[in-house]
Amino acid sequence: MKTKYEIKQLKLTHFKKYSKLNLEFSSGLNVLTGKNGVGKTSILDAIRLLVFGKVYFAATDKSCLSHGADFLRAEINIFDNEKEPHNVVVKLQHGKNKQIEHDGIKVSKLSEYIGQYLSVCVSPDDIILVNGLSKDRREFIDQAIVQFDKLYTRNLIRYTKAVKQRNALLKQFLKSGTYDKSLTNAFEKIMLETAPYIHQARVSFMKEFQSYFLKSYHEIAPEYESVYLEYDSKLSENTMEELLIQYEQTDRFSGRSNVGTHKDEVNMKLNGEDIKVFGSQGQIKSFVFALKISLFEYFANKTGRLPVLLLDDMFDKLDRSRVEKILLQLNERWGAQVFISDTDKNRIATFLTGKGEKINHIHIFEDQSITYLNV
Amino acid sequence: MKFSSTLLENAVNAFSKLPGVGRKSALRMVLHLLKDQTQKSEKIIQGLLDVNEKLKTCKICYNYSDDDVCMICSDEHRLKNVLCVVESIRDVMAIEDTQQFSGRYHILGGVISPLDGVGPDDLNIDTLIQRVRHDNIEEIIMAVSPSIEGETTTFYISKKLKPLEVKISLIARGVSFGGDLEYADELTLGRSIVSRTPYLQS
Ligand SMILES: [Zn+2]
Repeated sequence: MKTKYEIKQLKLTHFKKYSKLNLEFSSGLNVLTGKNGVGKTSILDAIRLLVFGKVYFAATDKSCLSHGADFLRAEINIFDNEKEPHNVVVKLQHGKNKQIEHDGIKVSKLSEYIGQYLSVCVSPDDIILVNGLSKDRREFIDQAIVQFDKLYTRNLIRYTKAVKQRNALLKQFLKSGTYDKSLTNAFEKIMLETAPYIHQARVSFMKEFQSYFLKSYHEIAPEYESVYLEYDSKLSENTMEELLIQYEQTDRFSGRSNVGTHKDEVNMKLNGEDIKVFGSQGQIKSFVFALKISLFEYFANKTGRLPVLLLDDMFDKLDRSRVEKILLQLNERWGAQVFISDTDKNRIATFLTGKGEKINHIHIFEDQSITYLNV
Repeated sequence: MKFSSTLLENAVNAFSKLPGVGRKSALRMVLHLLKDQTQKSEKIIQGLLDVNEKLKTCKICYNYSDDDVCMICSDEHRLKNVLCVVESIRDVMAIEDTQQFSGRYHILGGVISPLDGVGPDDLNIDTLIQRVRHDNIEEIIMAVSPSIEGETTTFYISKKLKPLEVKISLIARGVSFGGDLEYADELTLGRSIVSRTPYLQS
């Protein structure tokens, strides 16, 4: 049996529009309804902040502080299969570092906490996975791998810092017309140590993840279309060392690092072509949704633990029959704990009545007061 | 905070500029000094004036010193051929507290960090190389922080020292050191110096 973590309670203080909020959740489907702007997404983000250590839907953690408040506090109680209770508290304060406490113990580094609980977030903005920059696609891969591979997190942090320092150095050299190879080498040494691990982990992830993605896509869009994710990295052909030698002059005269895992790309293909160029809106929506939703099953099989699923405003993207099918599947096959927001007060309830599903329905009014409309 | 006197307010403002001192603790300190009968204020003022006017930097290791050469560098009982390389004066004090190291020090004044505008020329690296070249140094113990910047600094220094064939070692990993030296407990820090490992050049 897979380990399931179940969030029972959420307590917020000065989180976005909520000066104080206490919520109770059920182990299955939790539906948050209310008009646009009442703060449904904030609740999803609070959960994400607590289980992952960072928000997803908002731009930054700090932007979740209520207007005029000088601190924010969020807390959840989580139970695992053994009914063992866990507790997570996040505190944010202006001018101070974020503080996370897990079961009463202060977490000294975020990188040590990430992966404690798994989560998958789905947002209408995920469309940037197709339309956005390659940085957005790398972030998708990174946010997936860091949740189950601590060594990856460590290597990624080291690599990223080394590249930043090397870029600053190259820029200074360019400006001053000097060049000190022993100094660039010093930062390259760290890139050489870390890049192979990052590359290998991404290769394995993309290989394993592909079949989950294909399955999801065909469940969402049953019409026959061939889709494919192609991991594109210069490190697949050459070693980091060879690449740094090849690009030495380019880097030197452009004042930045032009090669490495920070330039990796994921090409997204539909019927052999770039989906960004050749896909219809509907195809792109299904593609992006499949990317995110398949992470759930991937995580479950890879780690033996069930992620918490946070779905924001998904009816924007997909029609009723598809959403219904996915929700029922997640529930039947996995017994997943799902949080879903919707502007329509009755839509999800209507979908699922008579299908034997219990819904914990929380409705939020415009003054941020709440009521439970459980059926 | 409302004051009945601008003199009092000025004193509190001055104290609250110190690191880690808020206005409340500043007020407490000032009120304490006002009530004191033992000339505490005068001693503090004299101490600070002396430090400001007379304190020197040791021209060998860059530690603070009364004279041109500090008490550690001029101590004939200390090993002359082993140097411990640290970032700051506070690191020297933390290592001295362990009583496990009987060599001498070299204070870099930071680590290489282009993002912060700190390059090798801003640090006491050249003088370190001079010391190794001219003072018969046999071993360098690198005790800088285990950050990317610390590692890079160690690597850079090791490259510069390569032609001089001096032995380079690292203080044992796993304990916090470098920038955190002052927070490491004496026992673990002491052990990490004793059980240092050779730095492997690649
Ligand atoms: Zn000295």
